[in-house]
Amino acid sequence: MDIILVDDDPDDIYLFTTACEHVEPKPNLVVLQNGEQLLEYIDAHNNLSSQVFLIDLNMPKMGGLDAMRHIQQKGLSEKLCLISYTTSSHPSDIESAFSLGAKSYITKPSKIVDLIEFLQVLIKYWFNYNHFARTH
Amino acid sequence: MFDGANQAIWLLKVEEDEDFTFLQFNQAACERTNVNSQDIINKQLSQLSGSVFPVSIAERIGNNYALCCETKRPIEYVETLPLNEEERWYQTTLYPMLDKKGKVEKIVGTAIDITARKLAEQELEQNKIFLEQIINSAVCGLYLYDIKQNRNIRINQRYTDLLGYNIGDLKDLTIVDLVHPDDKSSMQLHLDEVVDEKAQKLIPIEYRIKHKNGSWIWCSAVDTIISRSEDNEPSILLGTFVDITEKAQLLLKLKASNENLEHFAFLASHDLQEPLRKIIAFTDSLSMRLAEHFKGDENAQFEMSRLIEASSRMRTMIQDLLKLSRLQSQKIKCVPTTLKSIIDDTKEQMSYSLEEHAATITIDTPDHMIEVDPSLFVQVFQNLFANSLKFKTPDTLPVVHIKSEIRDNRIMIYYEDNGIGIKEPYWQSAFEPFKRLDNGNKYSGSGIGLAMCKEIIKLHEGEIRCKSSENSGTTFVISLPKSRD
Repeated sequence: MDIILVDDDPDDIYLFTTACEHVEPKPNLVVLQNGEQLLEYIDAHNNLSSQVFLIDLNMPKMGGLDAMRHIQQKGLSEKLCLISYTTSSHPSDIESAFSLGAKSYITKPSKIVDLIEFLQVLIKYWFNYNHFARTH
Repeated sequence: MFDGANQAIWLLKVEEDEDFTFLQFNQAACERTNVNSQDIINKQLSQLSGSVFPVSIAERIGNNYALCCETKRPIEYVETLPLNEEERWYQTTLYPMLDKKGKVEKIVGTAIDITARKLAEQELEQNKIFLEQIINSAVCGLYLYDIKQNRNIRINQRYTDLLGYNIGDLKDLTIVDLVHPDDKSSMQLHLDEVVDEKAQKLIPIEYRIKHKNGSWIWCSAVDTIISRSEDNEPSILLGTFVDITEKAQLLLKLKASNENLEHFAFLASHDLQEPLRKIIAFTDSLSMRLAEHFKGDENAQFEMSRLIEASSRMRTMIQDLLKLSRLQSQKIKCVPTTLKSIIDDTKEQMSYSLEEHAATITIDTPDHMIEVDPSLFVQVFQNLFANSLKFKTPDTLPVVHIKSEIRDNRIMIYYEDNGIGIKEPYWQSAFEPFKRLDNGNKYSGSGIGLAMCKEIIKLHEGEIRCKSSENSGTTFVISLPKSRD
């Protein structure tokens, strides 16, 4: 039950981590700072079939959309559970994310209670009900 | 016939001593010189000098007769003779008649009175000078452009003042040489239009032309064909222009500054969102953490709730500002649709709140076709409906009445509700962003709704006005161009 948060914003990471403390069962949180680190992570791990990736769009070095484009080129985007997790709600960003293989598009909740509720729904949906595709 | 002729005719005998004897002098000649024929017939010119003819005139005509004798050819000249103290103009011809030895024996003189023609010519000349003065003192530059030769054949002084060239400078320059490269294609289209214009309408154009010193001058010109050849081909183009460089530069500056401003609004609202989101998130998180400590401290609870309320209101405003500035850079997609279809879409999107308020909406002209961007126009009516619901008359069910008509080639849409109305001093400012007309906090919202409506309608090249009075509902009048290019 791994949640991979790809985000460069320390405040958002802090809030996300705080929210994780308040949910049961507690997920295993991995934080990556940008798209490059995400690609390295994917290359280094064989079994990615029980992981949810929450990917911010605007990040230095490599943004979320660019990272997803690389993943698509590797032929992995159909198999991975990639979710855009961003402040942008611009229609063009939403369209790009889905066309690059995002399974869902979430705008960051700003209130901690909303974030906790989101995490509970996320965990329940993806890890209780959902079946992941095999990646190896 | 001789006496009845309209021309003065006379016959001279050439004497040995280079004098001339008048053998004949017809009626017309008598009238024009104001003499009786018996006073002149068979008299010599030298005898008449100083009596019938003034000395100076006798000398002058004698010289002409002598010239005819000498050259033995007909001679023709224009002369003036006084008649009753008035100068008259004559076109005079002298025909020499030769004897057997080839010497000039006699001279036939004829003279036509051309005074009227001369006066007309003089008047024409004066008119020409007068016209020239008008043309040269005009505030606008003027040119006559020969279409076949492809160059200017006349310009006025103002042309030279504005563009630096005199007519000599323009000898080898066509209009295309002078026009700014970016304006060449529009100039070509303009010239085609001018040449095709048969009713001599003045066709306007604004373009840049190169000053003699190399700088570019913005001209606002009108051109027309003033002369066509026999086969109706245009030959001369008349154009007048004024220098609008200053105005054009100001407009460009204004446009750039407006774009900057719009971009600034976008960046400001976009970049402000981020830290504000953090303020909201951490305030919220902190208020949860401190909830235990605040128990029993009403002031702390109040202050915390004010903090949360103010920051979330600011967020709404910034998001609205962002929406508004995105709208300004939006390209609209107009399609023909009916008023009913727009209203139905709006009602569907707002069905919950409309039902909650038990609002009644009627349309007088449901099938009226309008050409608008449907998704944007749904937003207009969403905002108007929301406005009507929010500012409804207490204890009264909201009623909205919509009708449209064509007036002065514009589509007018009238939107009337039975709400609390807007006082006259606020009719204008109601459309400004974040303008909240009532001072109390009775009504929530950021106050962007009507500003959005105005912006969307502006994108459609239309206008929205408000004309209502307090306590008798609000009427919004939307006016849109009937047909859009």
